[in-house]
Amino acid sequence: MSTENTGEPRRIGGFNTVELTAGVIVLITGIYVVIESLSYPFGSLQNVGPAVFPMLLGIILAALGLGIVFEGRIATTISPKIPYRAILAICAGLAAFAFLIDRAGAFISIFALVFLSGLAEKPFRPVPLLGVVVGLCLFITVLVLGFRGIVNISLLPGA
Amino acid sequence: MELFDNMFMGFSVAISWSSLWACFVGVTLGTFIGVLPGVGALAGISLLMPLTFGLAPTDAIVMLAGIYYGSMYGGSTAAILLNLPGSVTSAVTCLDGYPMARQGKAGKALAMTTLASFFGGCFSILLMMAFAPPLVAIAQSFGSPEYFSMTILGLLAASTLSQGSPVKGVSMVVVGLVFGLVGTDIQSGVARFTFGSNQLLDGISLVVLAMGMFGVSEILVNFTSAEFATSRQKVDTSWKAMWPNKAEWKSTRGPISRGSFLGAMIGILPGAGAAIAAFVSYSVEKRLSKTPERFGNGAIEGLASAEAANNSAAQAAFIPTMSLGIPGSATMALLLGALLIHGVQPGPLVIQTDPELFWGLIASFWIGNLLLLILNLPLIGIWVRMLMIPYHLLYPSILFFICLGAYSARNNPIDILLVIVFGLMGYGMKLLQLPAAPLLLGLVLGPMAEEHFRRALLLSRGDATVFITQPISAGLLAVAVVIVIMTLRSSLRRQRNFKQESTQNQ
Repeated sequence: MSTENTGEPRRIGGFNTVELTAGVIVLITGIYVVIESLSYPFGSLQNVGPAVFPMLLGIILAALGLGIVFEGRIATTISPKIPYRAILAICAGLAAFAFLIDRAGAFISIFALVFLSGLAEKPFRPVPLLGVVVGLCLFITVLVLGFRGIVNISLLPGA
Repeated sequence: MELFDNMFMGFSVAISWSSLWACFVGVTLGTFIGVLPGVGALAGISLLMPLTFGLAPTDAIVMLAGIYYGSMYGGSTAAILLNLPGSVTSAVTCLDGYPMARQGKAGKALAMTTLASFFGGCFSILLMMAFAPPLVAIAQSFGSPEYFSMTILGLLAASTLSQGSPVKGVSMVVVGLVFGLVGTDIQSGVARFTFGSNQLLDGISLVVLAMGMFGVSEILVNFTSAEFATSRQKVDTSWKAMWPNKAEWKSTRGPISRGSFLGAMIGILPGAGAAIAAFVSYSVEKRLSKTPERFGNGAIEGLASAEAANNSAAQAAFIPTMSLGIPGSATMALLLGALLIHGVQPGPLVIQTDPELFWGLIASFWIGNLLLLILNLPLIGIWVRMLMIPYHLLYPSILFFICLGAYSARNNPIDILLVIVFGLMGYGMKLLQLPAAPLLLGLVLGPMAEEHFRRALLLSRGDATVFITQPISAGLLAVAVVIVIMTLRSSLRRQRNFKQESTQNQ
């Protein structure tokens, strides 16, 4: 992924920004895990409670976070251009499927999923996407009718 | 002659209609998934895993194993025809496979891949038949301290030996272990890291996490890297053009056997895996060759040794997974997770409690490899045509299968939303170059590591030194410490070199 990116990596105070972000996120996750583990019973050394293992993991994780920050000074990582349009379209498609599948059945859900996620790419290609919808609808029909009782998905709204 | 009795039992399981069907479906779908551009083996297995939930445990694992080595094979096809490695494993295949394709010898390269893979796979199956039972015998004397130490060693080795920064690898293993904590604590009944949600009481679903992190995030990554190659290569798939001639047989005999051997040795180690096996055996062949300059320009020996090694390593990875219950790679962790979902506790006991499953799986390896050989030589033409499917039609369909898989597991739309969350997380991790595979390993092994940790302390009456006073456990931990020290040293050396370079530049 990063092989196509050329140019100088961005740095803050000598730290590579990408590596710094990664390290800080890991560090914060570790600290959070430690804090969360404090709310569980500790038990004794013989009968270890549910808090001990998470606590150990949290401490190790926080230390590793610092390690990443330290190691990241020499890294030449560059963050690539983020395709916001594609991310938004794909997440919207998946979310629409999740929202519709119990309410409107498989056909409508597939239609929503394919067309919303199809927006990820420019140019938008309605005709090939319609082909995909028809293909997937045929597939799910065969699946549901062929495996009655195993695959429990309603095809049509209210069915 | 116990081995023969066992294999006989294995074949009687694997030749049943249901297992044969599972094996056939597995290798075919696996190859299909492997050939598809932009879908790696891990994504493929996570996608297809829900398919196996309705099957008997033996059939399920036979099918998943089939998907695994089928996708390895399919990945090579994409590597040869498109110079597009579907996974790291097939990166070495590109080196000589793609030049061969450009010289019009694509058919021959594909056929050689199939043959070399077959030999490599067979070698490791033999090894597994011979070595799994004695390994199991040793593992049966293990107690909780040994298991805990072995898990730690396995996780450390797997995360530091793989590509990229070892610190990041280990961090992701630990994050995986934390994810493994989510849900009800088995020993005390306390709900941990559930944020008050009932959906999380059963823990994070392996399928949902894998589909998000390897399925959705891979699609997002493909959008980041912009260019999608589709093949326009014409391939001569006539028998005559594909089948290696006498001289080629002779020159590849050595590379294939050395590749198989090296692959198996490396494949048993946790973390090293098929990619490193392919790299090592490729460079060995290059060094042994009288004409090393041909390597990289379409040397059939290089292709053959890399393919033999990566398939041999892929099969050998089953040895620790099935006999010790410790997976060496994320793919193996997925298979292990699938076994757990089916109620089979993987580890040394499987061979006793479920001998049909164990020997049936080994027998199915033979059948699967043979199926790949028979299926693929005539089907190469079809796989070639599949590479022409444009990505803009492919990715909405992949998304649909992800939804279908996530939803059908519990008929709960929440799971699809969780897939989105893990997909975004996986993509974010890719951007920050945090590897996702170790996370999966941690997730699967986490509950086991904690259980053994607590049980060991309980049995030793709270004596924390038990991990270093037991000789086997101490030895395993010592190896882990050596790995950590070696990693630290090479990291510090890189830091020093960097400083020297930057002072020279100034």
